[in-house]
Amino acid sequence: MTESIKVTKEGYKKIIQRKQDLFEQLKEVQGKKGEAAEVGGNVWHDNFSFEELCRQEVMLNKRIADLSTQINNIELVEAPFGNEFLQIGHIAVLLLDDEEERQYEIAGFGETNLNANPPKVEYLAPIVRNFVGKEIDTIANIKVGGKTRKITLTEILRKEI
Amino acid sequence: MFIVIEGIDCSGKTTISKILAEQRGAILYRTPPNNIIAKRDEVDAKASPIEHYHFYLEGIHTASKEIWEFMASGKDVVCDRYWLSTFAYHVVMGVSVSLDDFVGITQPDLTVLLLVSNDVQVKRFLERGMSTGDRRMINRQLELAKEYKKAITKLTIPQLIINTDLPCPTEIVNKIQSFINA
Repeated sequence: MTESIKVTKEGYKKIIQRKQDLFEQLKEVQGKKGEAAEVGGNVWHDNFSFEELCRQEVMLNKRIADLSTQINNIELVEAPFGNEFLQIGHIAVLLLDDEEERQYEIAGFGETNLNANPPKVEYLAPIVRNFVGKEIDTIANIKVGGKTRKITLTEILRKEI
Repeated sequence: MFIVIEGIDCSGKTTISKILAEQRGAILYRTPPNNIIAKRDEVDAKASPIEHYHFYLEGIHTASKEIWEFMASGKDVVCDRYWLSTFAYHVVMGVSVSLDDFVGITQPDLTVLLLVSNDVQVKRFLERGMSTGDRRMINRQLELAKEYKKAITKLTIPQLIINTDLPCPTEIVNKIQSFINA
């Protein structure tokens, strides 16, 4: 069974918009493909532009299919109640290797924005996924890129509105 | 996924890294990192080889931590030069470099080594100009290319070696993408 994908209302709107944007890009690529075939022929390897557009078309179709699967499994989440357990919408205060403190807002699927203040990371991201649904003082050893770091959830904050 | 683009000067690292990062929606990271980049020209111009090595080594360890956090946040990273450049350059400079100096850093999922022939490299140097760092190593590019190849083939890391003399940047990026997808 496919697991549900948690998104906020904002995130849901963004995913729908992204799908529409991909459809627009696909239409554009298909239009250009017709032109490229007329100009340089549609024989594989004879026409680089045509070949490149075919590649883009395949890639866009795959992204649209992936996104459609995700949309079918969406579960909308509301703002969290209380601060006892870390949830989407909370701000997690993390201690890395007992020395560096970081704050991340826990975001829904596909809502990562590292330029936000604090940075937003989706609930499935390695740095936070072991802490979602957990209390403060939870410790996890997180391995990424062959390197393991000890992470401690030291505080759960509510976002100021 | 963490992809590193390595190679000698004018091999196309910056162009390829930029296109690849855009295509993959990844973070484009360049070493040395921002916290030490301001000192780079001075170090390239005046530092002894050993001081030069320690400056770049510190940069790699800082980069490793920053890249780890990006990846742990769920982002892909494309890095323009990483530890292999620091290793190869300083071996050629005559510094006693040890692989142990790089133990514990964030490991790439793929290292792409870009190579370019000497005449094409010279043409590209003339087109784009030279930095202080380029000038320091200008007469040692052949040795550098050899050292890169020697180091990467000796290591059992996921790797791809591409000559960038002829293909256009998009074709090179397609090769890298195909390698990753395969």
